[in-house]
Amino acid sequence: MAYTPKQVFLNGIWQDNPIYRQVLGICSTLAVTNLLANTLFMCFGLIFTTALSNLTISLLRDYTPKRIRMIIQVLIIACYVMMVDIFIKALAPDIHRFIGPYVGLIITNCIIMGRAEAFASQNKPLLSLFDGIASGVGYSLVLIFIASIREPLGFGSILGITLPARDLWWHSWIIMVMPPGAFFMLGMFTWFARRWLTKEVKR
Amino acid sequence: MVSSPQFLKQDIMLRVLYSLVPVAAVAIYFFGWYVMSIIAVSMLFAFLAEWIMASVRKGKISHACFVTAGIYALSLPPTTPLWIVAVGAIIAILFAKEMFGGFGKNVFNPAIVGRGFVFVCFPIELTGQFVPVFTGFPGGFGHWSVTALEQPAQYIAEAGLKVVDAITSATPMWANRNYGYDSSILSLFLGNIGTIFEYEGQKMVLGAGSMGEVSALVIMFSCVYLLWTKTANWRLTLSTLLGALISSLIFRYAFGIKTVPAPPFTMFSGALFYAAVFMVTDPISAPKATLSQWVYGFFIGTMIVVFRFKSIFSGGAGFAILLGNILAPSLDLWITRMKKPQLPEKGTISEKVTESP
Amino acid sequence: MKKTSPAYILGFMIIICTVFGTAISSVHYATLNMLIKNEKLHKNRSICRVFNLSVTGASADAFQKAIDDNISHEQVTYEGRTWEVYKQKETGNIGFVFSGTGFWDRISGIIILSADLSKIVNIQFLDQKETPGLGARIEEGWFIDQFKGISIAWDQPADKRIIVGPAPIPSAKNRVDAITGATQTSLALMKFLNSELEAFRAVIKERGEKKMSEVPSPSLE
Repeated sequence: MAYTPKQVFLNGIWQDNPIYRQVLGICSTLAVTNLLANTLFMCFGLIFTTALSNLTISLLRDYTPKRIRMIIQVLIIACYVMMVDIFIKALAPDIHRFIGPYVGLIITNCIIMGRAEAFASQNKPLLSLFDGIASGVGYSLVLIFIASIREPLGFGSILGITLPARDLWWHSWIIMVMPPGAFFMLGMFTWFARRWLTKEVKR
Repeated sequence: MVSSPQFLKQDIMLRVLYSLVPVAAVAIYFFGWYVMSIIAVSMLFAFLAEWIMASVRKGKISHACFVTAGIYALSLPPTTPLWIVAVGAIIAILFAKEMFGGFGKNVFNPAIVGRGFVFVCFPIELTGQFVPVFTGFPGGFGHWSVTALEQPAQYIAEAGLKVVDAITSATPMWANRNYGYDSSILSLFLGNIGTIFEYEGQKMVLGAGSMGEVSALVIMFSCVYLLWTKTANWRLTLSTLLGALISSLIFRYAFGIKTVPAPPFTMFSGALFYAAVFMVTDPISAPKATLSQWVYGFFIGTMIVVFRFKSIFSGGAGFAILLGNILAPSLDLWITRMKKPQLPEKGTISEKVTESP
Repeated sequence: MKKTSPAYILGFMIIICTVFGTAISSVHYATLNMLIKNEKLHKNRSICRVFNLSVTGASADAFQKAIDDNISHEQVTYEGRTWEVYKQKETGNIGFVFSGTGFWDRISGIIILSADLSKIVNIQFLDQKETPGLGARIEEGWFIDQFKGISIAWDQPADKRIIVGPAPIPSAKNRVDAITGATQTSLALMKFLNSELEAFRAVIKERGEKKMSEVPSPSLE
């Protein structure tokens, strides 16, 4: 199958969005979306890792023996995740204190492995890089949307900035601070997206 | 938007609504007319949510949405702010019912999902703001709410406390669990809960629980009507009560767990009766086979008792039923399988389950 | 060589591991000093904040200097545990690093007591992983400020000397408010703070036979 870069981009962000279409990477959606700042760092980390691991795996695809390709993929992904972790720790230690546990979790994000196996191991390097970025962006858009609803409801702030006159009208929704809140938001978003945003594939 | 949807005619649901009337009337007597506004807001928003969703999917509105709203509203504390009531009602209809495809397709009891959501989301309003009841004549029919009073009731004033102090987190169950205070069984049965008790030298007001659950007597009255008209399934109610009774006996006397209250207190306190009559009997989320109904009710009754002494909250009827709801389809499946030891051909099991009404 | 031959697979694996292993290691070593510095800076900043020291400038050296000038630090080993004990030279206030299990994970911090151990002067958390927005609010100013100046009720049972959350007498001098919605974190905090205080008093008493005389003796219970 041949894709054009534009198709790859649109698929990753919209039609085949990793969250609401492929239903991958749900764990981190539940974990990090209660604060927008955490979400943004998670998204940067993920875009970086998916893009580079896709590129690397695609570059090596002709040399990788079929039987051990999964091990190689995990190794490469782990390597990039550790790098992200080290960089954040060294350059932004205060932020690392908040999102540290989640950065390590990037490796368990199914999107990376899924894209590596489904796309990068069969396509050209540049296209794979595009695909990695597109999937990461698609993931980020959904997460940012969810986080920008959860943070105001749960904390009364957005990006850590207190909403205007918060004490007068605002009331904390505790459930939005906790992971179950993301279940509700994600469920609603997926429902909405699949009903109105994308075309269902008829079998 | 599509043309406005029609009502689905449901006599059973109407009968449940009638049975809620005495419970609501007693709640007004005990807590004042504010109760009525809670019920009204709950029904309005549940109806709106259902109306919008039914228009979108071109379906019909069911009377069940009013039943859901009524049962949900009466399971709230009498001080719940109206906007929280509305949020819960919308969540109940939207997430527990419409998301699964509307009436008859919901896995969970919508009223409990709504209550569970607001319970977790707004713990202060839902677990910390109970009030003692009105007594005498005309009781709450002469007032708006306990918190709107200018003068506190006489016994509260005599203890040197004010109207604000009447807002308490000490319901009979909470007082029993945390302060070792036992309310009288008669007051739990009738519902006239509201007194002063002392704990380590401090005077505290005992508040009644949620609106619908205070009086076991009136719930029994409604229960008789529901069973008489065959609206509710007697097996579900009975097995739940039996489950709670037997498990509290076992925990207290066989295992010697002293934090489990004596059986009479277990039976008449908290939401057990209300849940057994109005919530467990929801025909859609309950299992269909006779044997699985017994197991289902028994499981819920036991879980209610377990939650009462093990969880961080003092009551857990709602969560017990949600667990039961999860179990219900599997129960039906297992029991069908047990009855036919040789595995039937593919597909027949699931058909059996979905066919039954 | 054929791609399916064991030799090729092994060779490929070795090359990949070496390349990526080297890459990770070099990144790690390149940033190692930065990590140690960051860690130290974070701790020093907390110490300065908890002892309320005035620091000129925001550089790592400034924090280090303020600590060197005002605080004496020693490590006391008692019953197999090493305590990090800090003492403010001027006031005699004494502090130590405490830790305990919160709702999710370990919580650690520094607590400063008055010289005679009768009061809590200040408290600061170094590390915690409680639920953001609920338990994690123990780091917020309003919660920490409550601890300033409360007395430790040494005459009470060992688990009631500091009370976090509701108490029969709300105006008690050894009580702070719990965090709404984070009952479990508050209870855990109360539990391990009390046991840490108890253990620390034993440390001070052991050591203080020589130096300190004002330590209240353990009450008979």
